[in-house]
Amino acid sequence: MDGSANKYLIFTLEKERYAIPIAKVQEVISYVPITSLHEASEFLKGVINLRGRIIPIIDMRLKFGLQAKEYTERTIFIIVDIVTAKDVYHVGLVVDAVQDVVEIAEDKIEKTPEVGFKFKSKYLQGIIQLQDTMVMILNFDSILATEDVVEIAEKIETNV
Amino acid sequence: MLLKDNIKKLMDNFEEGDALALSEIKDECQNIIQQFAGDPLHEVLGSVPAYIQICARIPSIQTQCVELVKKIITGVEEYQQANEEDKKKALKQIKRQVNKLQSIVEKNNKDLTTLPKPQEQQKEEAKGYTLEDFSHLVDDYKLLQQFFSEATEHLDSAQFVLLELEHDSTNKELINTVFRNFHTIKGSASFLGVKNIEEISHAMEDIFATIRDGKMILTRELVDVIFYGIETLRTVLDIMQSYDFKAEEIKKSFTTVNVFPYIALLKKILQEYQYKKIGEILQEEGKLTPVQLQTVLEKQKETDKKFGEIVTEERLVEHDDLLAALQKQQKLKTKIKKIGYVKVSNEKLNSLIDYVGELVINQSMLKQEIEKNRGSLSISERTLSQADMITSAIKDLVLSMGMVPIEEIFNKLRVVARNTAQELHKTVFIEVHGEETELDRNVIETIYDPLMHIIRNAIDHGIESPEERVKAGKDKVGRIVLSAEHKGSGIEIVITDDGRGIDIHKVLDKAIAMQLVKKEDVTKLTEKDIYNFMFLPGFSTSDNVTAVSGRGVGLDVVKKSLEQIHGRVEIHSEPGKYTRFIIKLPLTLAIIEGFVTIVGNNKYVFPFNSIEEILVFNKNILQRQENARESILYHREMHIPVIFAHEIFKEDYKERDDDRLLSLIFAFDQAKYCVVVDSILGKQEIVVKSLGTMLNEYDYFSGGTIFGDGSIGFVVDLQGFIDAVK
Repeated sequence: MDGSANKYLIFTLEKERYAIPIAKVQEVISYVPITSLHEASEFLKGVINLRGRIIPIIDMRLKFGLQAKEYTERTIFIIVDIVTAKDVYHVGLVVDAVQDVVEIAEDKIEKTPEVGFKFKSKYLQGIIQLQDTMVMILNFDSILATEDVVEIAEKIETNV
Repeated sequence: MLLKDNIKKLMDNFEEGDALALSEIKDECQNIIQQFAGDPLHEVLGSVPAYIQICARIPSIQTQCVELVKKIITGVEEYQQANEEDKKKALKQIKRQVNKLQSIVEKNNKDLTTLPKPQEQQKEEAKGYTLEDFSHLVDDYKLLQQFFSEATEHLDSAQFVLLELEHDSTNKELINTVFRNFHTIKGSASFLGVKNIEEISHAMEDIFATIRDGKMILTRELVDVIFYGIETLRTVLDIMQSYDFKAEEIKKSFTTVNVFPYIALLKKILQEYQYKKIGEILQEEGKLTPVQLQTVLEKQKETDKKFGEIVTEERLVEHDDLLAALQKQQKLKTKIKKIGYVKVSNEKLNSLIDYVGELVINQSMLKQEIEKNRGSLSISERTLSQADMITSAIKDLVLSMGMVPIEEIFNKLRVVARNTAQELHKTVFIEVHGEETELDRNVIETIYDPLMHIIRNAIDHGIESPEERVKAGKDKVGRIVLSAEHKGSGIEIVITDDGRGIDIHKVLDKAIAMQLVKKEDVTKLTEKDIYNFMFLPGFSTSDNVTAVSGRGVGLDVVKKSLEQIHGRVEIHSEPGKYTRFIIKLPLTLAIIEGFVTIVGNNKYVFPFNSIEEILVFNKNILQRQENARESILYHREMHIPVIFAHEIFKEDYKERDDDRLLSLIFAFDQAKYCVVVDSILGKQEIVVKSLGTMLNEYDYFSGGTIFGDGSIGFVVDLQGFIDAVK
């Protein structure tokens, strides 16, 4: 490990903090009206017009199975690049707030423990302590690849 | 040692027709040979990779050859372990196997054996190039890359013109084109120090110079030889590309490619055929009798007239034939007409199209905003409308840049057809229509592979062997018609072969065997349903696997790649008569004539070309069958199903006060549909934007669009829409 540091964007949902690599973030914009798509999956809210491009919008609260929240002028969209085998496309994520951009050294990132976590570990790239609170680093490609609401590990544990 | 394990594994798993594995085996072989540099074994094994390479083109001998290579490798192992005395014996043993391999390959390598083989020269020069030969190779990525694409283009052109020449072998214009192609390649190659390419193209150039001067005739056999040479050149070019144009690695690899036998062959041909005149050849082919020829030649001495002129004057050639030939020549002349071209990368063009799309949207947004604030702004009407005009001119221009005629693909397919037919010892005539039809270049890029597959299939499974055809009372030469034309809002590409057709029972048996359908349900299937089985993965009705097809991978891939570009494919067939593939493609992915409607809260765009009429009717005239979900409208003596767009798009349905319904009547796939919408905004040019992979599950949308006011609309794909209804 050479301890190389990468920049991450920190955003919040409810009280939790999440991080995504800044390299994946194209831009952060404030709320614009959404053209809704019906029959879309619950968390796929519709599409927006971003300077002449059509970008699907995903509500991260709904994707993670949290309570929905009304959109206001202060709602934030994070536009991210999704790289698939075929092409690169953009997706907008609705989050509560964007907090900060931080540098995280790669060797500081801890592996996610197998149990005791909200999400299945495959959706997390790792966790890290920042300013005394835990930040979950999301594994974006696997979260957006799932068609459904992200499964929550706890549910499965109680079943066992 | 490891190396040998590798090659053994490759050979043990080898399957006939697997050219990729063969090339790996060849590479491994080369690695092994390199280990013996300086050893007598090095020389003995030297030509083995070349034989493996050749046998990649001849599936029927592959298993046999691989067995021999296996023996050779075992021999090499024994050789390594043997003491000095036994070494000689082992070497002899290996030599024997190599000779066996050589004789098998050469016996079956028709391209080379149809013509006299220059034995002596081959021996002299068979050692191939040395690193020194390439010491002048320019180490410049850009230059080499440019050369690669330029040479590839020239080879494409030469290949295409050669096809024409097969039917019109004395056309000077065409011969000159090929001559120039090789001449240019030779020039660039010599400048860059790509010696092998230079020498091959030089030899080719000489041949065509001789043909041009009328001292040699381009026979079918010669065309075969030239084709083989073009393939060799391509192989050499591919080597350059595969080493990412790094000079050092290319040099190393070049020393292993021995092109001398081929060059020698060309030289030999030149010597032997040099002095034959057109007349002599005509006589050989039985088109002129010796007496006729003599008279013509004597006449030629008296006048300045050309051979062809005299032939026609003497009525030795049918007037109609001459006229047809002239017309063909004329057509080609206009084709060859030079226009200056600038090369632009696909990537740049695509982003240009994207940006222009945005510009158009922005322009209309700007216009609306200015219109709103007309009083407070002092922009003159003229400036605004001029900006409008320029934008739309740029848009048209850029969009036309994105369109390319399908000709390029068709020409490539003719080459494919020709090669496939030869591989399978069949004769096929390809007829092409509508090659000037233009398609979006992104569509063109995707369409080649599926079309190639269908063509190869047609020749392998469709077209019967000449004997079978004669027995069935058909012309010995198989016929494949390839056509493209505008139809509705899209383009239709049709491939028809006059072969044995599809045996529907065979397909059914296979479907039942694969448990795709139950025996008792068979009667419920339509013909279309049955043909559709053929698009399923792993479905092949061919009894025997050939190198060309029959492995069950194919039609499913065809369908998938076509779906990628919103294309569809259908099969029609009549046993014993024909098989026809109809491919329907959207004209362009970028822009359509749209009809904008409002349903619920959103705007939906329907393809304008499919709309027959707009109809307002009272909802009480609808006839609804009991228990049926859909209503039927009786209109113009037809029963048309009524579809409420709200249901499909899951929009709210607002009842109108006056009981009247606003609807669009669509004609699609030989049926009519009545689609009820809330209101109509009108016809508009729509820039279709991708909705992204995320929204791909919406089969009934082909994309989205952004209107002048910045709002988003969804572009409806009729096939998907109708499917969703069903």
